[in-house]
Amino acid sequence: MSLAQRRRAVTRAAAHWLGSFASSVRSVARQPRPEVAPLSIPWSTFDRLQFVVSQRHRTSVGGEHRGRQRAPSPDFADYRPYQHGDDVRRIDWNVYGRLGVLQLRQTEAQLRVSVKILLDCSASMHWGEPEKFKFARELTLALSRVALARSDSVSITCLGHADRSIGPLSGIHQFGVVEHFLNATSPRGKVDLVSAVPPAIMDRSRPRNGPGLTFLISDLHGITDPGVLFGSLRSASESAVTLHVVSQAEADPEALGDVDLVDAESGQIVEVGLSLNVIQAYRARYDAWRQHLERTCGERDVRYVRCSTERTIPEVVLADLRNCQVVR
Amino acid sequence: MTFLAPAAALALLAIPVIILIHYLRGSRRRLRVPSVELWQGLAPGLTARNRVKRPPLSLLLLLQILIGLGLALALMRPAREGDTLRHLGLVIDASASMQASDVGQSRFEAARQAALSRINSLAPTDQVTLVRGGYKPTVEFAGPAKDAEPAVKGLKAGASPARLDDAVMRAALELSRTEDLRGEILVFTDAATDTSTQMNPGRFPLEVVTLAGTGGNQAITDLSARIEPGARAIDVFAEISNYEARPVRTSVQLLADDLPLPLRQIDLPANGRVPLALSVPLESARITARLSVRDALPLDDIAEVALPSVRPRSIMLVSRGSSALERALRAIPGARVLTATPEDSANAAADLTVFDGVSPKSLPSGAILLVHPPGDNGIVQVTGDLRLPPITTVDTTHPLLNGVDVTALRFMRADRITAPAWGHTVLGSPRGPLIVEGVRAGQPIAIFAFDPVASGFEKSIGFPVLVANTVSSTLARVSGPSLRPGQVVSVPAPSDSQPSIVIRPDGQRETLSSAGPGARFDNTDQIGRYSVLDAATQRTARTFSVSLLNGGESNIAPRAFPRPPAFAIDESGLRRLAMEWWWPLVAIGIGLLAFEWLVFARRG
Repeated sequence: MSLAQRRRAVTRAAAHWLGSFASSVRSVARQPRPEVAPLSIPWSTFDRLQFVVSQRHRTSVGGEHRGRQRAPSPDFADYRPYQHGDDVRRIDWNVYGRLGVLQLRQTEAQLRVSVKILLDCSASMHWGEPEKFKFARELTLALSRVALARSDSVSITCLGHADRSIGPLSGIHQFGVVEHFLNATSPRGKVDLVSAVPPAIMDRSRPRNGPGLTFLISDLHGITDPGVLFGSLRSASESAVTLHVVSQAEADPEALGDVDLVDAESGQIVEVGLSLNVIQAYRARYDAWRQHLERTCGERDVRYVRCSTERTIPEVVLADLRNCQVVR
Repeated sequence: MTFLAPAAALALLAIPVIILIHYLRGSRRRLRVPSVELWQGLAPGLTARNRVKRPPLSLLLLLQILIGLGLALALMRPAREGDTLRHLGLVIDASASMQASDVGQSRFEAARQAALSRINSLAPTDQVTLVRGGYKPTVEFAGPAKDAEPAVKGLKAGASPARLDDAVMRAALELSRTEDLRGEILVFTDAATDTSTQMNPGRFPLEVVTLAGTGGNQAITDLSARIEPGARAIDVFAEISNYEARPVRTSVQLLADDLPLPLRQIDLPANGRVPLALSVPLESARITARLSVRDALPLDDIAEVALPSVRPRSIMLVSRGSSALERALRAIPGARVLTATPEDSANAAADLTVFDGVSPKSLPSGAILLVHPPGDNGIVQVTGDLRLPPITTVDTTHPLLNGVDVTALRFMRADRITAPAWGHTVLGSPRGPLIVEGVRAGQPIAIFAFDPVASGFEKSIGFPVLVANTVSSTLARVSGPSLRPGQVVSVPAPSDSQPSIVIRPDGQRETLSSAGPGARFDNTDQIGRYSVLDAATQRTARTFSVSLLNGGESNIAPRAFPRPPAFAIDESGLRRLAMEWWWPLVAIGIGLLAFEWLVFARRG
């Protein structure tokens, strides 16, 4: 071994031991998040929100979303001249008395959105502190609350649990049903999102004439072809949103030393020596992977929102989703 | 502390093997991650297998080193030294007085229980030697203490006096074979024996455990018979002794040939004795005496002797002239004495042939008395002369010496002979026997290894008594000799070489081999009548009786034993009991293994 090689080996060894020491110091210095009794989420906070959807289809009657279509409703929208064949009951006779011109009164149409939520229930979601699945479950509840408060229909499908879905439900009184359904769900097993999503979005109970909004709540691990996934997601409805659940520990691991990494879904073991260099390389790879997913979503016209488990649900819904124009 | 298996230290090589395995494999943690996809292929040059490293000091490595160290130490069998290993020599007095019932079931049983108690206090690895202190002390057991109990329980009491000095010597001999053990001799006795003889335990400490009560005893201490001088009847003499500090009134039942004679009431004074005398007809062969008293030792309450025969006996004296011997023979009542020269003796036929200083040309039938045998006598080996031989061996209980004052015996000159195997030395010196009696090839023989004239014995008043006793003994009839316990009796071999069977008083049968010149039976430790059965004809060929008739044994009061000498034990060089403590190491190793499984194996 040459002198330079020996010097590099010594430097690497020293860096390894220093890193171990630093890690141990950091783990001692970093105070764990104080155990705070989980606050019950104020679900009523989300009642005033509504989803932002793309209105390319004709409206369906009975919703609470303002639509551009004109349809009978108590809300005045505009006048237009009478044309042969219009309903004479809609003629505004006050305007005719004043102006001597026959004008027709137009009102705003109320839209009902069909919200479809796909919840990733694979084993990889059962990880992290706070747990990703718990976070995703509460996020699903929050989105359901928003939909049900607006009389939208909501249906939820648990990806990974065969035939485990609920909905479509509408009305705020159905919130307890949704909560009970989600509390009985737990993550397990391996899920291939690319093959699991298409059958889940083939929802024949969805009304034909309503705008659709599809949410995919997942950590997006194990995706063989993100383009296919997001493409099928987008094809299911007028709007699609990917809520990427991310754990800070996953993005920024702290462990050092020789470890055997065990895949939570497949059980595959990878032997890794976690040095500082390796961790840096992992972080770069992770960021690149996430950015690739975001970019692919954008290419498929799917909105991408990074949801960190470090934040609370109200923060995610009221701030992050609002900023991304998922809700308003 | 010491290690009993130091070679097992090789197991410590497991520790560097464990460290090597951890060095090669490393102590790895397992981390569960959502996906390993992003980790794969990350800088392969920096993975654990390819990087040279020191084995990290981890809890698993420490645990495994401790387990290996603990198990290796356990294999080496660590032990600390405990007490010194002991070798206990137990001597149990098996004399007649030990059968006295004044201590529990018997003194012997009490001694047996005391011995068992001592054995139970020993460690299983201690050694025990068990010696039965009888007339001939025997080593009944020698081995580890854990195996000694059956031998102690199988010991049987006897009726003969105990030779405790010999028994202690035998025990000391066995103890000396184990130099590295701490030896100690324990004697269980009732001390109702001759305590004048000092027990010599050698270099081992001696402890005497006395088991004796205060029971009194009455006994028949003498029973003998002789033909009345007028040869009209047989005079029987008996002596009843009282070894109790109070007078006792009792009765004596005498039987002649098992036919009861009138019962006699006697008043025994305290610690006194009462003689009895009676006459029985000449035809009687046996006299039995029974004492009707309840005392501590029933063994001595019955006695039996054979009565001398008064059938006219022909005695052939083959001599070159011995007036003293001839006179003694002719004085025997009922004896018809014939004289003959050595040349004429070949055709002589007599009940008893006496060869006085001459060698028999051919052995006659009948009994033989050999006096001052020459070298070529063909019966006993004569090796020389003795001048003023000191008398050191005296069988005072032998019928030959009945009525003979042995303290007055002096021999100016005697013949030096080799004691024959078939004979019993009645009187002897350190350099050879002087009077021998026995049965050789079915022929009763007595030998006087001295010339009555040259030795000066003819002038002694005991000489004619001795001659008369010898004639009576050698000419004893089918109702054979009366013996004391432990005495040896010669049983003549049957003519057709069939074996003889001896039936003991308890009914047990013992077959005697017919090899050799007459069988010798020495299992005479029971009081009572023995029968000798001819195996071929199943007929009783002979009977003989064993009676205690021993005042020393009948006096069951304990005597003072001389205090045994005190010995200081040198414990250096003695083997010590190794107290092993490998088992806590094994327990700790198993506990650590369980902990390792709980912490590491379960969590993967």
